[in-house]
Amino acid sequence: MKSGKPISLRSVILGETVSFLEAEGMECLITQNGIVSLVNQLVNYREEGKDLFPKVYIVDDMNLIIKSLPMSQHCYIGQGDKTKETMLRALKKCAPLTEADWAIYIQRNEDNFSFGVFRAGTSLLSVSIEDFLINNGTDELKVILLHQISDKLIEIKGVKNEPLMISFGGREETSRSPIESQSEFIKTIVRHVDASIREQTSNFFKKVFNEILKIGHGTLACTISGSKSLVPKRLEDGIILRERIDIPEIIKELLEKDDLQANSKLNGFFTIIVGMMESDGITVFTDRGEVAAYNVFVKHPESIAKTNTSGGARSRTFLTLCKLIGKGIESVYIQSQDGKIEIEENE
Amino acid sequence: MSSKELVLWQNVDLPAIPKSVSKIEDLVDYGVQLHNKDKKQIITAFNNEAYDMVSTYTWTKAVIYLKSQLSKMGISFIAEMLDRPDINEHTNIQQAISDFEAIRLAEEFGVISGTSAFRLKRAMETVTHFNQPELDEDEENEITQDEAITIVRTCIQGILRYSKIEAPIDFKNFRLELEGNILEDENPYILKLVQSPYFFHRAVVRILISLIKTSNGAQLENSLANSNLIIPMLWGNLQHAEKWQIGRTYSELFTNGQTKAASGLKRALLKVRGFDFVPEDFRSASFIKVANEILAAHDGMNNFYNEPKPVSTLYSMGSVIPIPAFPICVTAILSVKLGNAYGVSNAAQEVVDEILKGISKDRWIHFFKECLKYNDRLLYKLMEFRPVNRWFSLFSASLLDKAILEVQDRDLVQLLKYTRENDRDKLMGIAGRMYKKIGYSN
Repeated sequence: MKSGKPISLRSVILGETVSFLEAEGMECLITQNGIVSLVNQLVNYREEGKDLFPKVYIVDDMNLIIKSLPMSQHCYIGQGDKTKETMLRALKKCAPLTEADWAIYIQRNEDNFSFGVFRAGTSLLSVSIEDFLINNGTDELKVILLHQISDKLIEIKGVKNEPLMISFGGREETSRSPIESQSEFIKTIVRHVDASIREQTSNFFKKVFNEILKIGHGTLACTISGSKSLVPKRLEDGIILRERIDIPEIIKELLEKDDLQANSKLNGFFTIIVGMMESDGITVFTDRGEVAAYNVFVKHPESIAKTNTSGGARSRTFLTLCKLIGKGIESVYIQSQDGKIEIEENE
Repeated sequence: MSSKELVLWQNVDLPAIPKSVSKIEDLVDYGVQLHNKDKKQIITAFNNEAYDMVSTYTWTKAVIYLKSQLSKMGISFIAEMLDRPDINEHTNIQQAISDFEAIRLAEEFGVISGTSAFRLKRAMETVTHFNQPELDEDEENEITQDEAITIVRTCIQGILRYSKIEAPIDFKNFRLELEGNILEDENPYILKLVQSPYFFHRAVVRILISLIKTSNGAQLENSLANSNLIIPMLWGNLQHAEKWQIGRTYSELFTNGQTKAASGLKRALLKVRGFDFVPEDFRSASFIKVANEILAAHDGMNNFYNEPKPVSTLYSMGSVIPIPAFPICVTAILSVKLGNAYGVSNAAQEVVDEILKGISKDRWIHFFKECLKYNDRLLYKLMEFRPVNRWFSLFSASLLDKAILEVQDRDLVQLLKYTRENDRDKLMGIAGRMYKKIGYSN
């Protein structure tokens, strides 16, 4: 009888994790094994039949982190021996609590692991924990983030390392994370937003696009020049908004008034834009941070209609839009159901 | 930087109006900001012995002009320098900042000299006092000819004789330096900064905060790098008011989504372990707003009439003042309690006493330790006869004894001892010396 050939990702992940922890100054045998187990668990994580996308932060000084995060809340859930089983228990017990903007923390103490959930900020504008602790992190606050960023794709991020992307699917290796591609597209949406609120507008759209990624819905979007009052003729087949949704204007209002009304307006538009992006067709943004249209369809030219793309109609539309770059369209974004993201933009 | 001297900003003053010039007709001739019509009205009113009118009119002209010139430096910058989070680009600066704040700011920027600031504050108090509607129609309650001449001279000498009031070039260069370059720690200016009076520490912190809040790109990065150098150097000596201002700014940057700026300031706060000064909620912002309204009423016309309303609002907000707002709230309340050289708002006293009663012993000790040493407003009051008399009635002997034991600073210990001994002359003397040490001229 022939014996089977076992293939496991475990040794690969473990090897990468060891050097990752070393570079972060967080070496620990238990942590490295725990991370491998957590990565395994986080792939398409489900509880009670529901997909969950928890962000897990492994930290060394939660008190300092909470102090440094303005307007933060945290809820201690429990603790256990310093083992990988405790890390998995932390995920199990805390993941159902993270549906809104809460994240899980696992604190490495001298003799045990403690865990719970935390959040920060007051509105959609607030800096995200990930941006704050990881992307703009410092040596003093030792933190590692583990999360699923799209279908079967787990990301491990630290302050010092380049992100580690672990793919469990059959997708081709790519040096760029989907989040990076998203950021590139968002840059084109905020290109001509007033510099004083560009960062905030960008933060808002990052949250919108993250939500779409989490929902796991495919989507298509493009940007047009905000200086033109009409959408290009080729994009007219859809819902053209009589009044564009001007996100920078609402953000300005929120920053000036700092009241509940402006905040609720922004929250309202967040939901609407997510809904638009979940609809069939293309969502059209302007490079001034506005939404001009959604549910837009374009006719595929014959050359593309006959193309044998594996992605179906959405991919064909993407190719069609790419051909229009420089002819009224500034950039194009496609996100397939499995989280694969591509963008094209006017150089 | 064009100058490495410690006195960074100093205006090159026009020579003083000669002492021999005392006639109203000759004096107004120096007021280049006064139109011919204004000059005629002042002279006519003066010759008709309408001294109240002359004083109020000239004072109002002067202070409006001063505020409009200050606003040209940028409203958000002015807001930071005054630590007034309630002021933004849409605020009418004429209404939002008090005359006292305008004079103080002008002095801090070096726009007017310390002597001019001193005289302008006196003029402000005189005009404010004689404009109270409740004053009896008595000859004693009218501005005299001498007082009117002094006020007109002060306003023209300090403000109205300048064709343009602007910050000295050194001050502008210094701001440009902070946003345009990354300063090294061996930079002579940085080396001297630590030794300089508190006034400069406070100004530098506020300029940095303003730059961090409003700049982008390379300017933001330079301002953040300079903050990371300067804030840790000054932190140990900063008073709580300034520490809370940094913490509050950090919190605002975070909640407003200014990722780069918040992250940069986080580095500085990490270095000094300063997160205790980041407010846990926005409650303190409402207290700060009302405290500033009290101060605006206190510094404005009809002050004794206008003080009770905001004081009552503060009282109704709850007995425990959030600690981030405590420095400004206690300053506002004590300003009303101590009044000025002319008296106090009687209608506000009862509520003020209630608020003062609610302040615990520990909070008072905290006030003496962290909020008084560089409190130019209160120290200025303690240089005046009548407010000092009211100061003596504020604190119990046991509280003062406890505070004397806990306070480390020599000047503060002396101030408390003289308070304990009811020694008015010595108290006024130490208050004056402390006021000077902040960096003010008088």
